[in-house]
Amino acid sequence: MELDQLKTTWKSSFDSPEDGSRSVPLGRTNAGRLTRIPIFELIVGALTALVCGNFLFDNLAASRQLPLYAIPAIAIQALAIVTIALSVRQIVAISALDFAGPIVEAQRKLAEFKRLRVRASQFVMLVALPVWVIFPLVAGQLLWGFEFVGKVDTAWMIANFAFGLLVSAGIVVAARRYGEQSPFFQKVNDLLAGTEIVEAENAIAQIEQFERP
Amino acid sequence: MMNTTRKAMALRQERFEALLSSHSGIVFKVAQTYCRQPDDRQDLIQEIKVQLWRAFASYDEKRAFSTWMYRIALNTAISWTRRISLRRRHSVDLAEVGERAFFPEPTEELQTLYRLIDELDPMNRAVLLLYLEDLSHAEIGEILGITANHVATKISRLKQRLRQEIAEPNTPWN
Repeated sequence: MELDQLKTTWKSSFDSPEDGSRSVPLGRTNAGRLTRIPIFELIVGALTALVCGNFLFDNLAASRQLPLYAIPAIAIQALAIVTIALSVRQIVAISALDFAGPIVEAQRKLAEFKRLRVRASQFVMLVALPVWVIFPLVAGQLLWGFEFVGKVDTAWMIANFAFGLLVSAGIVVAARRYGEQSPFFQKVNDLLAGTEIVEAENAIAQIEQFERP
Repeated sequence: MMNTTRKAMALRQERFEALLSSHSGIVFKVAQTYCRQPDDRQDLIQEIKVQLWRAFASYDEKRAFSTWMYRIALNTAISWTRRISLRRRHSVDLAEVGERAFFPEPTEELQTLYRLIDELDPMNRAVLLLYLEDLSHAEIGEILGITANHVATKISRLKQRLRQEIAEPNTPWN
């Protein structure tokens, strides 16, 4: 049996295709799925940068006198800028993706986008969550003024820092326990274990190997 | 103005449905190559059609519809396969379930062909499908984005792989 002979077998197996629906199914789609999260992150990042930037500008003089008090807002501003940069890179990558283009090129771009997406998610999970304490600090400054940081006692800081760690630890435990049942926790598990990044790297490697003569 | 837009949209949809109908075998064959579990396959067929419809606005009528369709269908199927395999890693072996569910009594030849397909990575599956569809090396190269010579090499390797599959079924191939 040769591959050429199998052409006939292959074709005859499609004599009565099961595809009954001829109408265009406009109702169900996963097409917008890829850009949804980066766009959401871009909006959140831009709003955060706007609020923080405004706050820092309004308190420029006070920041010069009490630079330590400006650290939480500067840290959030930095996080927001990184989030914006990551989401813009993802949106640019996905907009360059053309499914009507050659398969090798489209699949390489898609795999590179996925690697970028995983890195962005890891950044949120591994950086933003553990430093949670700076968020309530800046919220307090926005509500009660720049001096709020000075009024916060050590117990409040420790409690909030512990809360951030607890939430992070809780997510890790829940992901391990419910990873099999919940797609969300399975995703968290994959992110923490690095499975998704490995999958993305493998896809890129597979395409590179395919391109080699 | 509204009426003209609606009319143009209806005409476009009509044109698309006619083209899709005359080339519907492509969608089905691509879906069959990447998934043989009936429910999942229907989902994949649906997703391919949605992607085709979404891309139809930018379809250049001067180019072959089948080439355009193969590219979108294969790109959708390959991405779908990668997504599904990651999502289902913890639950079931898709290829295994699919094979049993769809072919109650496949012929020996078909069994061999599907064993070969199941062992291939998504990119080489695309080469095999296009080859089985009797496309020329140049056409396959155009769809995939590689040279015709490169396609010839890939097909020669697939033939070698098939011979090995017949000689020693289920042997992992390097």
